[in-house]
Amino acid sequence: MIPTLLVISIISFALIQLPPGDIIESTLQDLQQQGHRVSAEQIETLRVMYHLDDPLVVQYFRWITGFVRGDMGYSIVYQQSVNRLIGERVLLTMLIAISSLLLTWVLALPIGIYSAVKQYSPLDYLFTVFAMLGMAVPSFMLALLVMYGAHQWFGISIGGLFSPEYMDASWSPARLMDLMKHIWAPAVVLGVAGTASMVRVMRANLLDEINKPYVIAARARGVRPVTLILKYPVRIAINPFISTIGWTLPAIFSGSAIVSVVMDLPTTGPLLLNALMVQDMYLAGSFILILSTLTVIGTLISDLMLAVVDPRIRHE
Amino acid sequence: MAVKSFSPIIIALLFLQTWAHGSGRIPRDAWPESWFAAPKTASELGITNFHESPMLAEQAGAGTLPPLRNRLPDDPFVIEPAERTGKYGGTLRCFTRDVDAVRGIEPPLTMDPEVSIVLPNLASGWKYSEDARTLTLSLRQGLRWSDGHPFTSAAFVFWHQHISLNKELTPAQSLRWQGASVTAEDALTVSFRFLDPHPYFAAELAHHGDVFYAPGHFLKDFHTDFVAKEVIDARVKEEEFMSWAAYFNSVRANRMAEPNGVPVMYAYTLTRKSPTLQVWERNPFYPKIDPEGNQLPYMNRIQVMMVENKEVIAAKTATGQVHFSGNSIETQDIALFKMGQRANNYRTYVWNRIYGVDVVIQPNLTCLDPELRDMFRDFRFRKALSFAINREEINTIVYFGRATPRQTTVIPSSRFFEPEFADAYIEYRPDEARRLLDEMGIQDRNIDGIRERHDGKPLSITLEFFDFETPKGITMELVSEYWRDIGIQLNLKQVAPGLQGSRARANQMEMTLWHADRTSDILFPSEPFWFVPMHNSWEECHWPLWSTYYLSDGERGEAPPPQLQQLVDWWREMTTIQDAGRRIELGKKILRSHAENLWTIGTLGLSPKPVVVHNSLHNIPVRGYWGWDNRWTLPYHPETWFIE
Repeated sequence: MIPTLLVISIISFALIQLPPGDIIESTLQDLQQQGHRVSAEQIETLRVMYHLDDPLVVQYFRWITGFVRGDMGYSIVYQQSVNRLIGERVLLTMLIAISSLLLTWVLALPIGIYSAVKQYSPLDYLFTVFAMLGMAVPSFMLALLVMYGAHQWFGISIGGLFSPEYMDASWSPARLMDLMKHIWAPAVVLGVAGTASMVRVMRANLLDEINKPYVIAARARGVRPVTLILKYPVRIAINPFISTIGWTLPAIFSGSAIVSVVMDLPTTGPLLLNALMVQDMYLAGSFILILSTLTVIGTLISDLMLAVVDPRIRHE
Repeated sequence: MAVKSFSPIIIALLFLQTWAHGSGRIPRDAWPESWFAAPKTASELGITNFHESPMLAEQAGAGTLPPLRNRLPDDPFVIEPAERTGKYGGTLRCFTRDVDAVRGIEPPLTMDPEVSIVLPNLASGWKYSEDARTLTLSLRQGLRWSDGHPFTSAAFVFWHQHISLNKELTPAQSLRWQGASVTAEDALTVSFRFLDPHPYFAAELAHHGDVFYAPGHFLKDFHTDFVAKEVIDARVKEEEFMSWAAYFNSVRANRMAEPNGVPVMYAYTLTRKSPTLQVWERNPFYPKIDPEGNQLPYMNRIQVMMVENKEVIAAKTATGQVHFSGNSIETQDIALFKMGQRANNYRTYVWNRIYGVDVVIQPNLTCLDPELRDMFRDFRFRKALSFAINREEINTIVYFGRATPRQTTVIPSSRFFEPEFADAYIEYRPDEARRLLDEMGIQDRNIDGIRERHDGKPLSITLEFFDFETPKGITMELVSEYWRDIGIQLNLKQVAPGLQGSRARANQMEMTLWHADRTSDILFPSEPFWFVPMHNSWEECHWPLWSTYYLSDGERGEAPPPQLQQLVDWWREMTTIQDAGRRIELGKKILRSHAENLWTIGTLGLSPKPVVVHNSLHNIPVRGYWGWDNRWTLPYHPETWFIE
């Protein structure tokens, strides 16, 4: 695991530095957009101050030695430590991501099972159409439509997690209501995208299993259909989901960058997007390394869970 | 339902009706006459009773604040509201980039609504010495910082001695400030002494003079000149900053994780911040009053929503989520705002950008490609480029017919303005353009629609630009069609802002764009970026090698041809002599050179720009100029805005 992470850290560091230009030019953008004059000397000084004139290898070591000690460095764009920046947003990101994941699973599994069992029924066709639409429509497009619909028909303010009146207010039942009114939109948008594909995969896997001889034999012996389906074929069909469950870990941490930008959510996704665009080394590099670590850990968790759920793997 | 289907017609009628307004210079009666002169003081107007907001009266009553008379200066100065006397109270909501516009900026001097005259503000007056090397400011008596501490000449001295001269905080001083000194003659008088005469320093003070003072009594606790280095270093480490300079600048600008209470002179102080929100509350020591003796500002609070994405800002503005929105909304969005204004309870004012032109096309006269460079240097080529642009059509398509086709030059209200500067070569004459190119020997030999250069390659120019603030992208798409019509292929390439800076500075672009700011009297004399090769940054790439030559004192870059060196000489003379008449003459010579030679090519200027104002927000002038030159709203007195 460690060698993998080390290689990932080197690759991400190199990739971030690759595009032309550097962070200093982008930092000064804000100042310059307001018309302040920025001289070439000021740029050089900033470059020295942030150690950007050191050779790449030195910069890399400075970053990685800090990282393993828990110090993720300093964001030049936001002028704050990376730890603080990410920490501020992590809770909300996790909240939105977990609710969308739960939504996905709660919707996708029953629908998938139903579609497989009642194959070619009218409801199956209906679900298939929605699944195809969900997979085809880009999530940010869906985000825009949902926000527009929410505003037109329910009067919910566009973007963000609170209406302007409640942004600054203290916690109260009304403020909680306002939060609920806003948070369903991101959860739905993010959830729907995943639901569609999950439904199709579940359906396909289950169809494979349902026609196996053991199922027919069990039916013939009078086992109740619902118990039968849930106890045997579903447990086999659910294999692929367990093995990818580990990858939800990084997803929870990073949220979806583009949807968050469109819906103006203060999550970690837009933070990463912006950091990559301006080549904010510490922020972008640390973020990617965290995501990679979570992926590796998640894969480990998946393997373990699979061993628990599937006896065949245990006995190998 | 019937109303909805008629609304596009109503919008069209609205535009036709206001067609007549589209000619650039806003008439003076759009603003109170008192805004064009020095503000009167309470004693001059006979005001003896002063009033404060209930919020502050309560605190003064409880003893947590000094009484009003002790908080105001000895003779408070009076600002007349645009419409009427306001009511105390209310919270204004706006977006991140509008903070400066709404909270205001307090330079020692200020400017008039036409951005042409310098007026007193925190200073009641200023005086130049005989040789114009020294400017002396007279501060008003009894001014206080937002924490109650007296605001005196010490604030300017502190800035100069401990910030401007400090090698870590200011690594490289600008040429002007080298050898300069700032002296406090007494508590209310401060003198700025420069090595060369600096007749335009007053204009600089009016534009960004707020950076020339700092609350020394607060900042010295964070400065290595006053506190032991080990103590400071420990704090820098604890706050997780990379260097003391970064730490100090963050403290001064109040950009730490939590507001630190650094004293300011603004009408509001920062009291709270989070990743999504900033809250500013009224400054109890603000020195201005309205004609009835009420201490300004009227509003209690400003709530700033931290939103960066332009489209999200436009969507939220169009659905009435803020009281004021100006920055980040663009000409193209005007129709969107007009559509939503009735349902969402706001009005869309259409101000004018204070930019000479919205899109300054800059062929690189020191381009690396020798063929292109020679072509760009031939005046006939630049003339052809200008004649080929159909400005009227761009006006209709992009600006609803409300902008003014003009060449790159100063705005009409400038004292350097002559109408022929703006009318130079702006007619649409594509045949003349073709004739000029033919005359130059650039023909289309293989009849593919694109002319060939003298070396046989197709005449193709790559235009790299950063598309923001003005409708550059749309304008250039139209321009590339017009130029294709006369046989020139233009490849448009949008670049990230970081790249715009590094490539423009390094002379690597063939052609670029910007908007012609710094074309008003406040900024044109000190910063004639488009007209004189004296600046090398992300805005210009029409002569980087010549600008570098000037900036490096001849060490780097390339010496400009005599005609352009003449411009640099005129400019240097203009900014270092006292004779006002001669200065105007020189300024006009510089502008005339541009009009006769087209160092850049202008398109349209003084364009319409939406400013969205909620129906509950008052005292914002219906018409105004919007731009960097007047710090967005500085002459329009945001401290007099109120919510009802």
